Amino acid sequence: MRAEPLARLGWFVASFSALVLVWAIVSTLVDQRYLPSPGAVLTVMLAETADGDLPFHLSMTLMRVAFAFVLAMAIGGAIGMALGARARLDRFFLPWLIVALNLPALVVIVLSYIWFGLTEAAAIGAVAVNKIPMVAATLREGTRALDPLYSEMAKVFRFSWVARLRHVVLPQLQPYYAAAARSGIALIWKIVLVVELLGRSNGIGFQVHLYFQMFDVAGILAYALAFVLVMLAIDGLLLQPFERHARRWRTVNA
Amino acid sequence: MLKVEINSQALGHGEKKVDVLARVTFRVDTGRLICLTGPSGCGKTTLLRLVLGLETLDDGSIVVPSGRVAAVFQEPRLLPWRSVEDNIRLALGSNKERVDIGSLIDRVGLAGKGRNFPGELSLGQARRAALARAFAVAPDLLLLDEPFASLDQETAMRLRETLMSVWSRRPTTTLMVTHDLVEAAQLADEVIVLGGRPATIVARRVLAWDRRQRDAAYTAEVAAQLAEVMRAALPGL
Repeated sequence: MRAEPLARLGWFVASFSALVLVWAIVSTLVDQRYLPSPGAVLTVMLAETADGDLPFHLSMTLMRVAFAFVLAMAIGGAIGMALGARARLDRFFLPWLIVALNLPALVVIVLSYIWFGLTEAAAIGAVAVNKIPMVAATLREGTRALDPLYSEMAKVFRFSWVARLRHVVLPQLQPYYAAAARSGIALIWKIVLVVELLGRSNGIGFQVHLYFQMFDVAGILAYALAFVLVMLAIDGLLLQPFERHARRWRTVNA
Repeated sequence: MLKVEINSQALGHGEKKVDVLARVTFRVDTGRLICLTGPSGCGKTTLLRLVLGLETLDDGSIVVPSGRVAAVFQEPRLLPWRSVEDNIRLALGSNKERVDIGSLIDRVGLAGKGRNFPGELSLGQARRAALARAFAVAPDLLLLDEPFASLDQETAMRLRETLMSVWSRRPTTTLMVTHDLVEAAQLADEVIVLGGRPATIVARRVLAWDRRQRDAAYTAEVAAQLAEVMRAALPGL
């Protein structure tokens, strides 16, 4: 057990180094303008960090991701749980959910900017709206799979509404929330970049757009990779430990 | 006192609807333990679920004592993601201060297991935990659905002793479903035999003897008599 986190880290480092190595090799074969070497990108990254640009744009994007993520998980989760629990609601609103699931992200973003103006709220709202149907669909499945054995027990022992949610329902939905969070955070940050590109004057998406116009691949990669690194850190330091904690009762008997 | 007056009860919907129970009336006086037995599939569990309010009664009335109800289900139904202690504490709701969960866990023979998750317990231990949870709420009505099924003889016997020792400290109005006639003869103040399709009461027997004085010979004899009554009432068994 003790060696497990270390082994996990070892594999991660090996895999990551191999990726960088492949990149380094390919970059020597093509024009530096199209694919700069890892070193060149790192230099840009450090320079942008030193003058404060990168941290500023990174934090703006992170702020949008965080708000959109929390909104999408809360609203999508509530909708999904309601649909999963109430057959009538489900029958009526399922077509709406399917429409929402198939609405292209770009359309939602453009319409949001047209209807609500080029504001921060419109940007974050558009991202959340893109993710809400997926969270709802996942949590709907989870709620339909809830075990009636436990709900009946909770009824007999007169669990309060809060206790039912916290100790009976949410632990069963945890894997579904984890799946929605995992796919959600990856999707959300990609949509945030589009939102920034179309209607914000800061953030990673805005910077990528700027460097695209200047045809500066090193700049594009520096900003994109900086954000990927932050997301990897969030996944490894927040999501994974939380999941392990939530799963601890499963592993004890294995 | 628990008062059961069922006129009819069906289960299922549409074409699959089956009449499970016909007229079944009995009562469990306060502080008495009644065993409900009968062939499998005769509606014992349905009756229990009706009393628990987990099914809606078609025709009839069930009056449960005011106050708290507790149950030990066939599957222990402990929340696998909460420790044994937490499972008991959650059932208590708001009056948790008044109950010493630790000593209750000791009394059902789970000393040192309070912090364990249910997945780490054997079936026998999980049933003990479910028993502790039921008694923790100091119920005014206790329902037991074959709480000793699928355990080996030895384990079942020790668990029955545990049940009786905890129960005697606070005799609770109890309705227990069991297959095991010896068990019924050992524990019950009265045995009610259900049978038929839809089921009615085919036999009942009051056991007047103090349960602490019942020995193996007595329980074996009563069980044999009950079996005889069941065979007479339900040919084809």
